Amino acid sequence: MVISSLVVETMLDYTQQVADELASRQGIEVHGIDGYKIIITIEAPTVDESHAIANAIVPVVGVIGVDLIYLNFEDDPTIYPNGV
Amino acid sequence: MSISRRNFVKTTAIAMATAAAAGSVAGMTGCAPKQNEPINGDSITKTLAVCRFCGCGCGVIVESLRGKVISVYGDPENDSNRGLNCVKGYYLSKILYGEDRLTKPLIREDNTLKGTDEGFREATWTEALDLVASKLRETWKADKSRLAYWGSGQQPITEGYITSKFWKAGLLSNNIDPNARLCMASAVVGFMNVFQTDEPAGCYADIDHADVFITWGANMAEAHPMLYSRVMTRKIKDANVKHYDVSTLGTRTGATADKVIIFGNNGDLAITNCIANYLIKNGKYNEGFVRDHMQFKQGTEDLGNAYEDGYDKSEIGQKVDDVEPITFEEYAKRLEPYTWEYASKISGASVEDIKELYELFANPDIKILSFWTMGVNQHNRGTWVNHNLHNLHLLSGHYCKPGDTGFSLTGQPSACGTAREVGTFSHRLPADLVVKNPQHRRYTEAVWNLPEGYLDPIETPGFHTTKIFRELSNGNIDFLWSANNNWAQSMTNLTRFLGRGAEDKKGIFDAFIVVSEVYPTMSTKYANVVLPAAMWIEREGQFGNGERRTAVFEKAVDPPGDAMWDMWQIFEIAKRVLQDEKIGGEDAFDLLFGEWYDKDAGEFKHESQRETCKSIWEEYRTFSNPDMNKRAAAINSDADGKFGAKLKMEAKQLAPYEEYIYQHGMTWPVREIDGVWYPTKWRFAYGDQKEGYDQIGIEKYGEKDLEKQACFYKSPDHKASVVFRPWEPPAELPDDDYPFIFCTGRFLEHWHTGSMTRRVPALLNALPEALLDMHPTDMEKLGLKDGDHVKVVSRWGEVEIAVSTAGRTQPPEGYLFAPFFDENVLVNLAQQEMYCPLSKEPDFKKTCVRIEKVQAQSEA
Ligand code: SF4
Repeated sequence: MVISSLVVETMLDYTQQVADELASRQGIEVHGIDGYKIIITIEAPTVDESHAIANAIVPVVGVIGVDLIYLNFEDDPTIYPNGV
Repeated sequence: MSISRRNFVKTTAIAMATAAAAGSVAGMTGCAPKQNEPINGDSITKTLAVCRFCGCGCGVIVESLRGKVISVYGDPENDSNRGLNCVKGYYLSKILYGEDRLTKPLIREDNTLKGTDEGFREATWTEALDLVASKLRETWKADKSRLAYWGSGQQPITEGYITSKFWKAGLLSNNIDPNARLCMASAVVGFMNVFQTDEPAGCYADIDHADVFITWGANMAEAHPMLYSRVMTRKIKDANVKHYDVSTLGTRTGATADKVIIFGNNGDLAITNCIANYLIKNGKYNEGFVRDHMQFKQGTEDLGNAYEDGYDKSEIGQKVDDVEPITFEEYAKRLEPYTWEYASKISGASVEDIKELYELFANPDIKILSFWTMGVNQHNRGTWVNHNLHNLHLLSGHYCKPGDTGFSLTGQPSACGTAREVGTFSHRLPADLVVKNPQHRRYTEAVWNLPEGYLDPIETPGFHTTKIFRELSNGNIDFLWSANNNWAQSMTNLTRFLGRGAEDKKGIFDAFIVVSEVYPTMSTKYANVVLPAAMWIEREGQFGNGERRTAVFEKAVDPPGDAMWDMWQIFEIAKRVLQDEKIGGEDAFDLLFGEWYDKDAGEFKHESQRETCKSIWEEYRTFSNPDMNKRAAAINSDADGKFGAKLKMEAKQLAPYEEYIYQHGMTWPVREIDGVWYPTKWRFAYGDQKEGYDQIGIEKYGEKDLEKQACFYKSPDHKASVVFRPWEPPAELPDDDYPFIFCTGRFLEHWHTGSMTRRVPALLNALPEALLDMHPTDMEKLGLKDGDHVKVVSRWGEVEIAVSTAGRTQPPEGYLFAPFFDENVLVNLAQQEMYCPLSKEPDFKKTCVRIEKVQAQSEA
């Protein structure tokens, strides 16, 4: 699996609502909230699918920023069909 | 991935994100994976890098295993982004592995197929290099004015330095210019005219201190995502912080602003002059700041536009840079016509909105951070708008304090570091030096160990970008080499420059064109030779971003196939072209490049790319450390009084190479105190150097007790120049035949011409094609609906495109927008080729067009 972690920044009154919405989405795990920021990981088979999940967070009501922190893709078969 | 490895990766990911959310750089660094964390006995290598997908220049750490990149994360210790990347970071490494990477040199065998991907054969490097060098040498020997190099703000610093040295000293040619001419030349000329030194005084950390943000012609949310995210964070942290977006159309940036002010008709010139007028009239300017820091000037006006190829040499074209001193009172008088009503009438912005902006500048108790970019720079009076924005900040004293400054954003990751600082422009030499100035040429000769007077033949600037392509189309260029850019898509007026228009403008088909590239592009279609290049972290390089931060990216993996480092390509071509040439009795190649490359053995003299780059850097940084070279030091201090002025080269001081690795990048000027190198974050602002203030620069060259403890010490009398710049109209105005104004620009998903990002399926799916954004009322008037195909027709050319009311921008009536990332919809076929007469930067924002509906086949 491709594993990435992100910080999602939200408008002040929307943090919990956004966290709940993200937690309900496939591939996303919410790990905590720090003020108006939500800590999440995304797990998906490929970088493309991970990006699609992350990109779909951008238009969620209350989201003001999506920051990528860490990305590991040693398991992405579209990049390394024979492994690393 | 084993379970234990998976657990390790996930735990690391969570820990880093948790530390990032807490704003803890130390926490992020502490929980980041360690160097040489082995997997099955093979160690993981960790290398520094800089993202190359927008102008922000975020730091990145890359992990590789067995020669392959396996992970990336934001570099917590790079102060530009402090561990954060935008979602484009997902593609930083994947972009290395596109299926159609160029891996072999290609030679065109069939010139009739120029303009297509066909007609090439694979070649050996020796064949390709011999051919390129023979064509370049042949042109050089026959007529130097008929060759040109087009570089880039994405070219690493040391590669740009070597290219510039080859072109300027090796070939004695100034026909070298970068694509940065298309994005920030107006900002450069503005900075040089106002402060006598290029690049913003502030830094990205200003965002954390500002009370008010004003974006002028800057769609930061799409073009500078990380910085915009930092703006939003600032707003969240303090509800009193406000953002004004001053723009010609609705954008994602405007969508989150507190107030959007829409204007047109070059109204930015009128609005800024109007605010300046009332600041003075109402006694709301900062008297102390004006007294201590400003001189007033006016310049040549009624510039007309560069409709003719010979504009620069016309009577008016030769006077565009002229200025004369005026008094403060005379300046105030010149502003008087700019009343609220006049500015409103010119710009279309309401009197109330202009007054609201004025109130901000009239308030000394807030900190105002103005950001501007392409809307200001790509403007037929781009340099003038840059002047006027600086004028507002200077008059009101909103300058030289953290959060209180004017900041022109850069368009590419090394437009500052390479194009501007190295000086890969047709009129420049390294470190703010210009070819026209004899003292500057003497200084350059000293650093390059050339005989005195050797550079005199290049005292006249060469062809700037538009001139290069105009002369190419006219059949007056025989040899063109381009690297790190895609001119056949990004240039204006492609109808002319791709030879698709008038019969007598087809020189592109006869010229010998060399393109160093990593993927096939529009430009490779017009190449005679394609040289496959190493990209990003397949070689070592350095970028200098928009906050004056120099950062190193280390080689992490090998390039695929026969793709080679550009540095090697340059040396191999230079050694062939300069064969048997002498400079002052010495072998020309050895004198210029012998320190780094053994021409007989065909190999680098240093053992690693690190050592090569470090050695080139040491020469380059002599430009800003004159004490490293006795001859240069004497010219810098004007020891014999020959020039009547000091150069103050230390004003851009750079550190030893390793410091940039050790410190994860630093903003220049860097200063050494007790053996430790410190960056300068706030230039011209006095304070503790260790806290990022310009203590050493001001103590060496300026005065520290002036108003706000600022000092613009680079100018001879320490005063910034406030130049009156009037309103003048756009190059084209809408009329019955061409009633719409057409603008182009960038969107988040695709990086410029999309040569990399359009190869990523997810990014392509997110934004598959360029659409023409149009106001619903205009759509209705023209009987159009979303998805209809139309022709955008200008005096210059035409392009077919699907129209939309649901696109990314919301243009006002009479205004159209389409991005330029899509090779299948070459919007620049319809763009005019007018440019700012001072900066020579084209205006991509205001071509007049009409819309013609294209009948669907079923209707036909
Ligand atoms: S903001 Fe720009 S430099 Fe930073 S990660 Fe995104 S694309 Fe790269």
